[in-house]
Amino acid sequence: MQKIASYILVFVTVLVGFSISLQAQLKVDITRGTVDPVPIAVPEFAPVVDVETSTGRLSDIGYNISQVISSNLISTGLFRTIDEAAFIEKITAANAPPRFPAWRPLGAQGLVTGRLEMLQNGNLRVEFRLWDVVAEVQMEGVGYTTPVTNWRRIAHVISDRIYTRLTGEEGYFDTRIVYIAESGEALDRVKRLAIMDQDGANQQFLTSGDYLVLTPRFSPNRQEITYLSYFNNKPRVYLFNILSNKSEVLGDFPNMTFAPRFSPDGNKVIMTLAENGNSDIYVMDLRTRKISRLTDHPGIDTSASYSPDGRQIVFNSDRGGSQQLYVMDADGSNVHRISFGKGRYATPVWSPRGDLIAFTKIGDRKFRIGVMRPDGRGERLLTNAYQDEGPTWSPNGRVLMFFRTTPYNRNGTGGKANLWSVDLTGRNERLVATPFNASDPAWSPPLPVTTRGRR
Amino acid sequence: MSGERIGWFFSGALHVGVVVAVVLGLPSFSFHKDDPRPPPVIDIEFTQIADETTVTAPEPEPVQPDPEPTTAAREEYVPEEAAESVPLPTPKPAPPKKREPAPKKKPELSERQQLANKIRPKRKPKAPSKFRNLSSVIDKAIKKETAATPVAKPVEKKVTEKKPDFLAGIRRGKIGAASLRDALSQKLAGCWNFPVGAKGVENLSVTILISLRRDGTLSRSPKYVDVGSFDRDITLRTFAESAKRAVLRCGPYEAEATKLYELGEDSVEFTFSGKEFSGG
Repeated sequence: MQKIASYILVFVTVLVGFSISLQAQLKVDITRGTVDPVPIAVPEFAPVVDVETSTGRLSDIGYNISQVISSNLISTGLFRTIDEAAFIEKITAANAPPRFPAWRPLGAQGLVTGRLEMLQNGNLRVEFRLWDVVAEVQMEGVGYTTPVTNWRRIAHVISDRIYTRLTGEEGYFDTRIVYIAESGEALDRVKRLAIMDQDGANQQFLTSGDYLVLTPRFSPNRQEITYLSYFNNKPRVYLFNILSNKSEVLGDFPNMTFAPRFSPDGNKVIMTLAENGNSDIYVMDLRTRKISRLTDHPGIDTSASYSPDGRQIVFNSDRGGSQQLYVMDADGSNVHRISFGKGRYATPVWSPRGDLIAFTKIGDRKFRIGVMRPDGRGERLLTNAYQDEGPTWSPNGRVLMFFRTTPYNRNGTGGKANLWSVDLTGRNERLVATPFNASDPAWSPPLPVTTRGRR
Repeated sequence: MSGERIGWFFSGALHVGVVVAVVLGLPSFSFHKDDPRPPPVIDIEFTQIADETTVTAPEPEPVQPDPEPTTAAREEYVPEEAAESVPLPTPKPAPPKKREPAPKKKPELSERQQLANKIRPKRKPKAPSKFRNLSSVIDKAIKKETAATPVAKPVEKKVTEKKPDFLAGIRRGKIGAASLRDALSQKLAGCWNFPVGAKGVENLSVTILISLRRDGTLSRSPKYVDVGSFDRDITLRTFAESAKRAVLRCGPYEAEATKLYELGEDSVEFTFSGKEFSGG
């Protein structure tokens, strides 16, 4: 028996040795890659039957959806779309995979195909599929049913799915921006609260402009904003629900010096109140309306912003002699300074993904947008214009929107503000078009989409 | 239970295990393989959102976001087969012409290797140019230099005449492996895209194993060495997929396969590291 066992042992040893020798491999480390935008093809979505709808022909809607998707993806700086004139295969509404060899020569790594159909109940059904042209597999396939007037939102939702599938991060296209629309001359400026899709479409005013509005802020988890309005010269904080179009007064704050901002759970707002000329940070519980004081220092403490886990708060203060960033625990304890660079720091905002804090840096005769880690290390400036300020994060923490004011010039034409966006690399800076001059943007969380029948 | 029964039991279990592994593991054995229809889509219904608020903005003049600053979109198209690798040493000619080219080839190999080694450290500090791939810059520089130095050839000949061949022969294995590793690394770098600045990307790493035929084509599809938490970690999954795409895009590996077989190997294990994409 022992003999047999020893034979088996020898046999196994030889076998293992042989298989190891067969698996001779060269090991190669790939530590670099390219940051060029990934080529992706987005042919127009094909209608099953090209019928007339309340918002135009179905084929036109299909074309528009593909255009919005392309525009969204390009705006990230991570993708570039391939000119449709180069397409070899015509994508139809047939339920069949594309011919991958027809897309590979174009350099496409991804292909988005889609089909549209008007259902008998009058709703629009849009299906899209994302294909990996290189590996020749379907990466994603989703169908949406909605009123046809929602086609633009569908395009944004599809863009989000594609973005997530190709980058591993949440998308931010199906989101909105509230901002202050500014019109009129400098001495007679009308400021209205306005809202738009993140790409500048669907512009609407939320207030009439009769009263000054300032500093809108989105709830991180609800379609709700707070803003400050001077009604009869009294500063009041309003809560406005975008889905229901209802607003309510949160309270009169005659001594408020800076904007309220939501806590991550949306149940509290944190703000700066001035008492006897001393500005400190307070928090209000929205359910009980009870206010508690968090800082108590002769310096000016303002612009508080919660970390996404709600455990810490970043704010700026001049308690050390110049305006710098400080972090404290949510109960006001453990205050410590995190910024030590040259210049002053203002309007800190904690990233939704928690790894960075955005701020406005004042120095070298400029206002610039920058980011640093919560411990103060890794400071980077992302913009370098004359006056950039008021950063707000996209819900996925990759893009910042801010407003840029041009310097006054001899013609008297400067001093106008516009919205801009920049990504974390600082390379992808873009103007966000608005019908009027715009300032103080606030980015919404993703709009709600109901998932049903997930297969 | 007798020893024979236990043996039968283990044998049966092993066979069943092998069959299950084959059916689940090999795509060609998977079900629905010949089904021409794409996989079904996920159904999603929209939550209705209140349409309008009280006041509507006037028709915006520039409705669409200004396409002007689309610097990224206007980037020149990067050829798919990023033929940016270091020129590999010409493979040894097959049986018929053995003797003539052999002495010439060896100095060429060492010359290129030296050039590559010389150039790389100089180039690295210049890397942070926007949207440019460092590897392509290095490769272009190498190509230029190799093309622009035909004068050096006579010198090479002299050197080979002086030195006995056996030294190069001893080192060839290691040098060949190192140069092949370097060439593959640079080639893959040119084919690999991943978004800069993704959270935690600096900690991501994925290993892919490929097996090559002599003609440079893949003898089977690239395989992840450790799939780990792909299903749970979407960032890791997309990272791994991007690496696999890079491997597929970079093929075929004609010159590399020849060299690989010369080294007595037929497979390569690529380890992709995300440190470069941290964007910090």
